[in-house]
Amino acid sequence: MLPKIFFGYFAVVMVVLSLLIVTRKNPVHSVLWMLALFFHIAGLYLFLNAEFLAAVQVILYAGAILVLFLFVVMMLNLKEEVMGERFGKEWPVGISIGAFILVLFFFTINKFSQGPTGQYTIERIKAETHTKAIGSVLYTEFLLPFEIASLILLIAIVGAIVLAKKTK
Amino acid sequence: MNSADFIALLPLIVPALASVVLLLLITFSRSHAVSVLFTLGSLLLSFLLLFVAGGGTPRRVTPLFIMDAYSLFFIGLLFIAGIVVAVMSSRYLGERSMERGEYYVLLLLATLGASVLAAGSHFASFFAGLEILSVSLYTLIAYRRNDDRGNEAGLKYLILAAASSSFLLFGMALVYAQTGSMDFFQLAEGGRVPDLTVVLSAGLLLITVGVGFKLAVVPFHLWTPDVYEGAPAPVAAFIATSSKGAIFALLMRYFSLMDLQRFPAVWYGIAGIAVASMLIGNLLALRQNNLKRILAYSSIAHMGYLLVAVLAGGTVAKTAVGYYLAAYFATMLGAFGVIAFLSGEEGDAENLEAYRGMAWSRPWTAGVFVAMLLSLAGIPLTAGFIGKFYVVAAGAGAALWIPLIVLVAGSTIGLYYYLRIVAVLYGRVPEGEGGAVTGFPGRVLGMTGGILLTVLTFALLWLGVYPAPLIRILQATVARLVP
Amino acid sequence: MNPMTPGSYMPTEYFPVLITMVIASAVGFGALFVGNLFRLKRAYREKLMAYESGNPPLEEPRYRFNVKFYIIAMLFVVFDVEAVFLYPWAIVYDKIGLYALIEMLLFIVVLVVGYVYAWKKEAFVWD
Repeated sequence: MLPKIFFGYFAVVMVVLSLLIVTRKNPVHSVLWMLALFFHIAGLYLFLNAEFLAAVQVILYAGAILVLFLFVVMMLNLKEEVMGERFGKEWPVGISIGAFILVLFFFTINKFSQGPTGQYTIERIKAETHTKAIGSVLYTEFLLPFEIASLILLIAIVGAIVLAKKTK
Repeated sequence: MNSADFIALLPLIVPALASVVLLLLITFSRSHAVSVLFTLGSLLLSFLLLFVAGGGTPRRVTPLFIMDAYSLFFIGLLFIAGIVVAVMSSRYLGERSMERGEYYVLLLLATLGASVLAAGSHFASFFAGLEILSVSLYTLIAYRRNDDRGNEAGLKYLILAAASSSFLLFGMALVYAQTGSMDFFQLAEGGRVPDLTVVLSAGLLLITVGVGFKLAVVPFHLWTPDVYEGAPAPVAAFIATSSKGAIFALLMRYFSLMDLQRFPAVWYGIAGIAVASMLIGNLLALRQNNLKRILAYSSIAHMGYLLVAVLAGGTVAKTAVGYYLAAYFATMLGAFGVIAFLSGEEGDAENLEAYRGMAWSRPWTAGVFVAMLLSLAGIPLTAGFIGKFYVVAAGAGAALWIPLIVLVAGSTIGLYYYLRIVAVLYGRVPEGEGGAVTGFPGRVLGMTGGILLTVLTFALLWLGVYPAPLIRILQATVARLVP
Repeated sequence: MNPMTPGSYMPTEYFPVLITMVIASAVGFGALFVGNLFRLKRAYREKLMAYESGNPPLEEPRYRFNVKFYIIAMLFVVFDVEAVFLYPWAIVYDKIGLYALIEMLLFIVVLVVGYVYAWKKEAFVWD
């Protein structure tokens, strides 16, 4: 029962926080609500046996990506941003697309029947601990995507400097 | 990974290493010529290494990559496209005062990403390849960073590509939940893929959305004209060819291993997308006066034609896709090449009116352009004709009458706007004072441009007149696509 | 029950983290609440002004940040992601051994090249 209560708490609060993020007029407030959202997502990951993901969620999203968000928001003209309309004229379109996806997910989740399990079942991850399970796959079988990740990070460095650095 | 795996992967390792070395190189010496030569050299070396890697039997290197004839063919095509784009860019960047070295680093990495896609046999390599490709494209598209349209295009592509990636990831998660495997080849094993459950169809639907965006098929095409317009002409050429071709190669492999024909719902969805792309792409091109936008809509329509072959399935259709893509690459690169080489510092040569009467003052350049346009339209004696012929043959073999009728109708509409450009090229130059300066009097193709476009034109005609050798290669290639 | 069902698993070993978070937020909100109970509420204009070490504020707090912050933030994110890859690596290092060391060196060398590039491009220089 207790885990269910926790799960319900996280689920409901995440929905509320997401709504707060998109409805605030001040972008800085949105970013701060997002911080709360990221912590709740991390909590949810914990309840889904994904400790490493929970840690990454806190370190990367709450720690690093949010800083990036905040800096970008600070580059906006906040005074004008707060005065203007929160939503563009197209918001009904957005809502209908969102509603469609919601209905789609609802039916999908309702009809979910588990297929054949993969190599890494929950039991195995529990026995091995999550971080170790990830490490033992990432650095053996999946070493190529791991090295590719370094190239993607390299592109991010180059891209940021090419686009934003003042040329002399 | 043992040494045999390593050798098989060399064509992918070399461009990755080269990009890192090149970045180090430009950190210390900012010579444009060195960057260009280094890029061309490493791409050429990677291309030659394909023949070393292709010596043996198909080889799976970890579950992520499969180096078989099919992936080697497409990687080769992508490397050639990379070389052509690099040559185009050397002139384009050389005339502009902007950061140059980084462009080639990103181009190498984007080519690597496309090759990873073509060799991918796992959702992880699919996503990793897609991310290298699109993250480098974000920067490349906005490379003219002082240009408003360039910035707009970069931002548009960034937001939409990120959104489509999230659709793709969620779709992969759902497919994994239902099948228990992210490995394409395990999907092909009997009993792995159940009949179409709701979860599986939702997953495939979301994957289709993600892939559809990258392929720019209707209704996920809205970004295409703006991005082509804002991106530098060589980058637009890259998006139109490598980025789409690589995803198409992966899609073909995935769908043939999944046995698409088993899922009528997905099949009809793709049929709808194909029909819509052929019609809408061609119709929207009619009213454009910007060459880059016309080519953007034209590429939407071409992806629609290609999807018809995917729908047909079977060996003939796969050969058709390979041939069509090779022809499409040569043609699109040639068309964008003309634009890139005619572009001056004041902006890209994209305004159709500026081309009026060019054929009289510069018959060769105009002639090359006409050849490319006729190939896009699918006129006999060009590569585009043979490609379309094979697609139609594959479609007729599978009795896909409605898509075929739309294909013919679409091609007919397409003929109109391609010939409109030809008519402008051979049009009368407006006389007297106040007549706009047209035909790019001051611009010359130069040696590189002349050689590159001549080679592409010959490739086009050769593929159009004597397709047998390429067909033979392709038939050997696709024969073993499904184990 | 199917272990995939949400709400079927309790990460009990993280209970101390929950307690810490509860106490931390209780102290934070509690201090605000207690202060609100006892403090005098006599506001006037000067008192409501933003506090800048006793000087009158020079400009509004809402001004646009320089784009230079973006590059710094982006580089921070990149190297933070790099650091995250080190955690699982450290845990399985004894199992995989030299092979893992080579992989990680390759990974880091690529990023060091990026770092050298950023350095040479003066991305860390403020002006």
